[in-house]
Amino acid sequence: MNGFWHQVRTVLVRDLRRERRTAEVLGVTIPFGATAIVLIGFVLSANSDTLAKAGPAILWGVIFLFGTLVAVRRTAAETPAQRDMLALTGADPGAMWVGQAAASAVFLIVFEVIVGLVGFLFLGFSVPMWWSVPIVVILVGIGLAALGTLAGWIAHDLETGTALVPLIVAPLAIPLLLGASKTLDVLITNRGILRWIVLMLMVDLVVIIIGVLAARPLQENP
Amino acid sequence: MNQSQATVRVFRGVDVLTVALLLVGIVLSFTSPPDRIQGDLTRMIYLHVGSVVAAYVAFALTALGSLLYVITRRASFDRLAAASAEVGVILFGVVIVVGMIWGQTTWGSFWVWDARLTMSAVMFFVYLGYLALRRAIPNPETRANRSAVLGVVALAMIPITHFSVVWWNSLHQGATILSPASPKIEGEMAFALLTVMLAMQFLLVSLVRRRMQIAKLEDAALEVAVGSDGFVAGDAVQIPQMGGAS
Repeated sequence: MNGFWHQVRTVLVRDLRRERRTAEVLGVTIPFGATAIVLIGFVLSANSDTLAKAGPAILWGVIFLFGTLVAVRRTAAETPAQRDMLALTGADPGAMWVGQAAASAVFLIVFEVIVGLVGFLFLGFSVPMWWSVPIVVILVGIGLAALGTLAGWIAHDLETGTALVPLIVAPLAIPLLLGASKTLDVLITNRGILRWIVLMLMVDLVVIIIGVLAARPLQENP
Repeated sequence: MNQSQATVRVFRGVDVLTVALLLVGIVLSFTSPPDRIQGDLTRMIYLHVGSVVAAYVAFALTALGSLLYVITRRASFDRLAAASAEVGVILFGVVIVVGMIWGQTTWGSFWVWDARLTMSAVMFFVYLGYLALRRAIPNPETRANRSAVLGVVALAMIPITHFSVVWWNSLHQGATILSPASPKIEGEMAFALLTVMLAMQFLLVSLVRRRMQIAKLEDAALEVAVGSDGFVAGDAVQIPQMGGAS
């Protein structure tokens, strides 16, 4: 088990290093998402009340659509040669999958925080129960990262992979989107959020379990 | 009579029963009493509900076929998954179209952003994605392997779509026959509905079986084509020999 987590950490550190070198998420996707928030607010040209009401929906829409780009970023994809080499070293495919998903989760959480702040500033909505926001952000980040990584593994090396992955991820991420938007709604109206948290937690767990179990067959039969 | 002949007879029986049940279902859906409020419009329920139940079963078969393929690596299970997904998507398309027509006549709009409707559309897209993935991969083994994973994940959408009416406030009607309380449907209408639902299950079996047969023939044709015209990549490489190649 120690070997498993050591491999997870190695893949995670490798992906973080790749991001430090390329700045694909921090330098490209995050500014792109923030621009989308500003553009949507500008195009709507609504009054501040309407924007504040529609704000959470706009924010989550942008986070889910652009978050998919984070999860399937080019630097997360391995070439067939890299995959073969990792397989020959005896690396556990499950550990590789978890490591990649963990790196994506880190990027997605950073993405959510920065784009969320932009949304908060430009769309002007308020959230009274701030303490629970980190839980939602973390659960969405983990779920979307797990789904994106799984879809990336399913569609790797395919000519239509770039279009196919969002088509796979976006509909499957809907339970997370519903959980996240409903949680924000009930946070604003000060009602219970537990069942939405449980829904997101369930989605995260199911996708992680399937991802770990499917990693070996996906790697061994490319 | 060998096993293959027996199977053919069984499925021929299923085909005959499908046609008979569909005819009875059509007659019952037009002769059952109209609804007190919606009148004859309510007859759309027979096609709408009958198709949706069959589509759910088809998607469950996709997941089952995918899971069994992962365990056994038998191509027939992959064909089951693919065939049931195709039939399920068509049936679900019927559900959405009939639902939209019904919505226009009762709610005054083809589409409302309702939990059940939205989740249904999302589920439709999940399986369109599944079929798109299959089309994108030419190698049969790779296709079967990767789509099996997606087939299992996609199953999670069915309970979420079905229970969306319970979890969120919805314009869409809740459970009718499978209501936690007593069934909210009149006896004659319930009988017609159950007959159509049964007929649609038989139709599903017939269509999936036919599609699996076609897929098997396609696979055989592909094997013949590769065997006759194709070449093995390794042919270009010669085994190194002592003293150089002859």
